[in-house]
Amino acid sequence: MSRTLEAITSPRSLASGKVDNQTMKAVRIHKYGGPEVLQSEDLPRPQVSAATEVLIRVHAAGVNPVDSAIRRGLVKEIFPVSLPWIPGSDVSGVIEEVGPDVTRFKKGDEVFALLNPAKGGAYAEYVVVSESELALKPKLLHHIRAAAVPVAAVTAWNALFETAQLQSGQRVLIHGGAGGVGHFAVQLAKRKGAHVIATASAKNHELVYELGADEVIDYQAQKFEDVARKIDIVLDSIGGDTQERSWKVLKKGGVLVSIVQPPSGEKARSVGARGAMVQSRPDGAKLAEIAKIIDSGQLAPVINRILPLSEARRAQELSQSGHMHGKIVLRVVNHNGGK
Amino acid sequence: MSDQSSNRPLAGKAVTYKALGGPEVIEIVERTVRAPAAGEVRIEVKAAAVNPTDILFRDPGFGDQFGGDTFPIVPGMDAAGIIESVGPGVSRLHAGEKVMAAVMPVRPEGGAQAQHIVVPAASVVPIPEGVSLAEASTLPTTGLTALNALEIAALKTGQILAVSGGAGLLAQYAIAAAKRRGIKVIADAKPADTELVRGYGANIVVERGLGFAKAIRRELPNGADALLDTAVLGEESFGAIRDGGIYIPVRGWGGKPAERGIKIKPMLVSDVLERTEWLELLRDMVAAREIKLRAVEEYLPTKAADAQRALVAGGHRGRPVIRF
Repeated sequence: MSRTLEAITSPRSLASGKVDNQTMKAVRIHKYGGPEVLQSEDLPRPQVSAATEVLIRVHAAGVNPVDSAIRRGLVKEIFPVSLPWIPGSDVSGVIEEVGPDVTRFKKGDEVFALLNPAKGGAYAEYVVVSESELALKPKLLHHIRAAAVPVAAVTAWNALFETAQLQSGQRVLIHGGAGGVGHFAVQLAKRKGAHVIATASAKNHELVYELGADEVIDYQAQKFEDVARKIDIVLDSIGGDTQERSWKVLKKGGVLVSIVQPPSGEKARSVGARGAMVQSRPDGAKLAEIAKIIDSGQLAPVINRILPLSEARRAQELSQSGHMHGKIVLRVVNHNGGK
Repeated sequence: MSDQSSNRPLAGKAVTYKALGGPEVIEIVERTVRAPAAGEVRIEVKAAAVNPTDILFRDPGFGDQFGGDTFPIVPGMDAAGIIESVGPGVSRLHAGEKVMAAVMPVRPEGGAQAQHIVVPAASVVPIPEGVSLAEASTLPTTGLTALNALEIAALKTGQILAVSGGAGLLAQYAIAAAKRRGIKVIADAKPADTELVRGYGANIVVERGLGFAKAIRRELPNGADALLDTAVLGEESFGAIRDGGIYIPVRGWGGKPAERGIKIKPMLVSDVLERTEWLELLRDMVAAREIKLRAVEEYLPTKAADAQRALVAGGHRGRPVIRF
């Protein structure tokens, strides 16, 4: 029994039987493909190579649809990656080492970050990030919850406030109001004073109302365009037919912001509206602002599943399956005596 | 939108560990608890169950896996009480409601054994009808662990789950959850507990102490499809599992890989503390008498050390619960 205890006390020793401070566990792909191309590997730890970089001991990594899209090779133009590639752009952890020119953070700081998806790197025990991508983790969230925030919350923020310039009193239609980006968008739009209409499957209605939606539409039972009218802003996280049918609910001068598929300029002109595509970009300052709102008690992530890093395949399968509310997070550091 | 009866910090008692060590590190302190933030509720705790995990949090062999060096720690993973206030965006739960909660101790707000706690609303559901708050407090986290084990084992109807330590609380809930899914259960028990474990729903009960693997193989020559090792038998229990089957340890796994293609799948209850639908399922299972909650023995917070000693000693005195 005591031998077992000792081994558990030092999680890093499990793979090799000895403590090793040069390697790390990570999940990588060597070719594009299905979830099966995700492989657990022992890799050299990344090194701080630029003066403004920091090395983070990853505690948790958020799972985002873009991780799967890149893995499948569907977005090579937008996110050109070099193989082998470690997925993951949402990270929460503790600073292990800082470059000589890093001024705002120090070793031991608890931080979260949004990494460039093409660069990735969060599905690992260590990742190197630039100081500009970092913010102090919200105090109210532990690492698992914090890792659910960056990509989804920043995407929702950019779509609503930067691209669409949401104003108090406007009518917003949020497709997929229970989803990763959607559940942040509902909360942020409500907080800004908008009238929030969101679509969700019936089982997620209660959640979406709780997040602050004024109206929730069961998109499987009725056509949203029959219910939602005179909309100032549509936030489209679905694309395809949903985006196509969204034009007719917009007011003249309204905006359709998509996070999945560039809207047609022609369609936009034909209804006197504007279309835009939005993505999240690394932005530590914005993350700091979002952390402040979270710590004020007015914004929180919804966690659907927590899985160990070794279950990254299953995490991405679940993420791709659709109909998942909230976020999926990979636990990298284990605080509870597990493997 | 939300029912906020209080935005102020609240003062109250908490059980704490001041350091790693024996029962002497347990201290009762006064602390204040902040108001609930978005998606959270604040609960006036009436009862908090004592679990084996609580003791690991102060165990010098395990403790640094749990809380690091951030003492004091408020232990406890299960609470039942009354909602005192709800944070923004919470409408499913209301002030005054009797609820039970699964609580993660490794966080700034600490664990369940305190007069007031702030927790994510997703970890909270109303208590089952017809049970006391003290009884309800024995259900959430152990119940979630049982459901997590069943999900990880991913067995099909008719397959066989072996459970070591069949008379324990986790075993009881896991057997009930397996039965609900049409999974057959083989478990071990002392002769005096055989009927009890059969009453939980086990199809076959083998005698404890003869060598778990051997006893299981006597009934199942090919072995069980999966083993939930609540008795922490470790490697010596692998023999109970069929080739290519599944071993689920309850305290992580620091041992060597298993033989014969057996897959080791450790679980971590902190992964599932916000599975609201599972908490609701557990409540329904109690209402349907699929789970019969055990008798409890209540202890004052100042007697928390006695409660832990009673848990370690075992026996039939009822599950220790701290009463606030």
